[in-house]
Amino acid sequence: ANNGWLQELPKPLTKLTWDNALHIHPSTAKERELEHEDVVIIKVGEREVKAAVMLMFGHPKDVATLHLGYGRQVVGYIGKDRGFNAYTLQDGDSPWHLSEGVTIAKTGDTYLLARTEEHNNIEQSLQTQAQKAHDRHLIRENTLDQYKAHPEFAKHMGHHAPERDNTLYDPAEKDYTGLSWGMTIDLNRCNGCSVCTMACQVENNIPIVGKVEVSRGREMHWIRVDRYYKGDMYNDVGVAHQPVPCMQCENAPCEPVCPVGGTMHSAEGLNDMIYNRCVGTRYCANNCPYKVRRFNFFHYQIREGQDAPQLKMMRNPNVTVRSRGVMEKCTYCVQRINRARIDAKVAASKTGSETVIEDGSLRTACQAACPSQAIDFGNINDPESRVSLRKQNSRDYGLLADIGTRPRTTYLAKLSNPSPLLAASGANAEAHTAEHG
Amino acid sequence: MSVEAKNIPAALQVVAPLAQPGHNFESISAAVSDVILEKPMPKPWFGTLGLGFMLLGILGASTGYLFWEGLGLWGINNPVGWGFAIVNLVWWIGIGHAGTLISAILLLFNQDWRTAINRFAEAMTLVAVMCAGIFPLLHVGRPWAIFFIFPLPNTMSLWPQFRSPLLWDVFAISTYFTVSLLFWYTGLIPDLATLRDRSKKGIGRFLYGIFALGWRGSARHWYRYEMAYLLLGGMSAPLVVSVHTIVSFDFAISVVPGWHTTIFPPYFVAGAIYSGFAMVLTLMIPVRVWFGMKDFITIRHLDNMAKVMLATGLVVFYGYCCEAFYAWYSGSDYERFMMWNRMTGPYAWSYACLLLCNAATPQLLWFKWVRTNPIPLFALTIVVNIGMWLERYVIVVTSLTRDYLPQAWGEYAGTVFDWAAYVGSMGLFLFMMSLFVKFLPMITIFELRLQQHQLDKGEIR
Repeated sequence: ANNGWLQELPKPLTKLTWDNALHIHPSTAKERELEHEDVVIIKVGEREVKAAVMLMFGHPKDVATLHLGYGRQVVGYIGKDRGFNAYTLQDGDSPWHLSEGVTIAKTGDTYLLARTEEHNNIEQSLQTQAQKAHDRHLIRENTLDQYKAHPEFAKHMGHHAPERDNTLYDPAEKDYTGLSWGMTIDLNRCNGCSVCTMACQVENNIPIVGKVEVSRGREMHWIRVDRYYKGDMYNDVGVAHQPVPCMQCENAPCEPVCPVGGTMHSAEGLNDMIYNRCVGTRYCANNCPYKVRRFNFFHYQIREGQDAPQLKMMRNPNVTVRSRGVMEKCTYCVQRINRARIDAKVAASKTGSETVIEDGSLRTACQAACPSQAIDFGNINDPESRVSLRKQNSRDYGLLADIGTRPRTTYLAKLSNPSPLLAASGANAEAHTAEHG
Repeated sequence: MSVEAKNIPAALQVVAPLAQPGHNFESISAAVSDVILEKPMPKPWFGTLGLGFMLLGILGASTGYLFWEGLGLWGINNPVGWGFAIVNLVWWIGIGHAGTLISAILLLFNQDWRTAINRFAEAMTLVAVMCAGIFPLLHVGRPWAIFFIFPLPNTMSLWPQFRSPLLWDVFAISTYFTVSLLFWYTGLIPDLATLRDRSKKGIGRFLYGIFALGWRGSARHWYRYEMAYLLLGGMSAPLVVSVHTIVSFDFAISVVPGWHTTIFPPYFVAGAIYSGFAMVLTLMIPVRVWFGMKDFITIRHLDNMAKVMLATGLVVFYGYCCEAFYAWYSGSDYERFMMWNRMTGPYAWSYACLLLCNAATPQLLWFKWVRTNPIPLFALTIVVNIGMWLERYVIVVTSLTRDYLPQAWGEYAGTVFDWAAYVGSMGLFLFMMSLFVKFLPMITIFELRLQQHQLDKGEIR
């Protein structure tokens, strides 16, 4: 399609942008001496098309997949010449799969596939990533039975977060009164669809950067969906998704390192990014352990056709459009928070009552778009708010909380309920019980 | 103080005199000042000036384009927010430390062998700090707003953020440059007077006269000079340790595994002195030949500088061992993986080269033959310079490419613009050093005269 947002949205399982690719299992690829990003020519009878190989764990062996809808020539600047046209191979008798007479041959060329994860040595890298994600207890999950036996399992996986009072500073400094914003993301509900990424991009005027810049690691999405493999990667792999926005850490590592004070902490618990103070040293991005900060390496807002007059009208007027050289990141949709506060004050002044923001009336863009309502956001100083109730859930844990960032965005651990008839497999493996940190 | 030749162990025997015999005050003054006033510049000098100027042009062009287009021209990205620019910044500042050590610390320790090398080394420091100073300006996203880092009075009562190591850098490096400049200039004053007195009428004599500040060489002048120089030396000496400690805080204060380690301050300072002495030797070995200074910059100086290199190189090697040990001993998966990744990951080649250049190669300096032979010593210093650049590359790139969250991992490679800025900064260095040897005495003339006097009297050897 001629839609830059969609083209640049990473596919949930492969993190591929801007193209389609021929998905092949790494073992199958090795058997046929195909490597990642090799251009092959697929022939069925007289029909043929070129495509680039992409290695994909979890793809069935001895099968290759090429998605329809790419390789269009008449579609406009954004959509033209993206990927490979699978319709060329389509057969009226069997429109969706071809099981006979298909040959795949290397052409000797390679083709850049822009993915939003580490690009070199995909097979090795994904295995290392999966191992580290497991060791670091980033996505915590367990079976329903184990949860019933040990409801607090998520809090005991990984190292414990440092105590709040374990500081040379006065811990009471971090006591927030009044409104205090927090968020939970329920990994049990998240299916990795990435609508949150898209909604955030639309709401916050996040630019697209184009295929080459994505391949260089410069995509601008403020919330991304991380995908980790688990289990036996070659034979019985499972996958888990984790949306990662700015954690709005109470103990933010990004704040003390900015030389000009371009990022500060608000009284409501938000980590505020001050665009017009930022000189762009990028120390904050280096120091963010979650890597949620995005830098405008170029004036992305005017690239890829985004300075067309019609597209200027597309932008959300409540959100600053950032220029070159400044850092940006998730703000908990602070424009919506401020809008809700103003509306509440106006309503209160009319009736003479107290200003109150109703729980649930204010929703972040990602929260509003999520089809499974995995994201909850609200005032954590209100013990009755939905987000507070979720945070009281025993499955609640903070990502990388052991390094002491005190994230305001926490996750609810994932539960699975495998049928006892299925052999214990990588996708449904039981987590260790009561792991100590 | 008289030194007896007997009972000195072989390893401490004088390997060469401090200065070749046969000189007197006039010949010393002539040898050093004639380079500037009388003789035509040697042909290689035109080469370095020309090369420096060309590379400076590359720096200017790439900088201009960088300011026009944006930092995307470089290889930096998410998660690698820092690349060549920071590596180069640390490299250049490190190089500068040798000059200050030679000028200030060796002064306080009464080391006679500093005499022939301190002027040149201190000039090298100033130029190296200048080269370093361009990178903070280049590597920010909005260079036109760089003045935010200075505590300038403004209507918003807005100070910079003092908890940031980058801001500490601002103060440390500007202090370093200012004090070094004052120290260097103070030491130049008697020599500028010499040049003023020896030069023929013209713009040169006029300018030397202005900058000599009316030096007459009276006893009172010398008395004040000695006091001022000692005080400035005392101020400069702690900078050798403090400046690179603060630069190391850019990394040590962060949470990034591979950066957040307490070994960094001493490790960086040792590395700075190590690379600085390597650069001094790299420059001095050809310069002493081209400009006929072999009588004054003798094998003794090369040998002593090589010994300092060996000592600091061993400290750097110890630093590498500490890093690896702490990573394992910490028990932290983040730290352990960082070290494992450094040794076996996508950038293992850089770590291997690093150990080869910085841990293995300086072991050759145990051998007297290497220390006292200019050509192998020159080759070794080039390897060390490369190794020290690689060290900062390893620290910056391997730690940033793979840290806490695996899905955020990335990779880094320098683009042609990264290289252009780096090579261009070397052009600035070469150009400024070429100007220095053309217009200012590369050895302290009056200190050489004093040294000659002491040699004649047998007070030193």
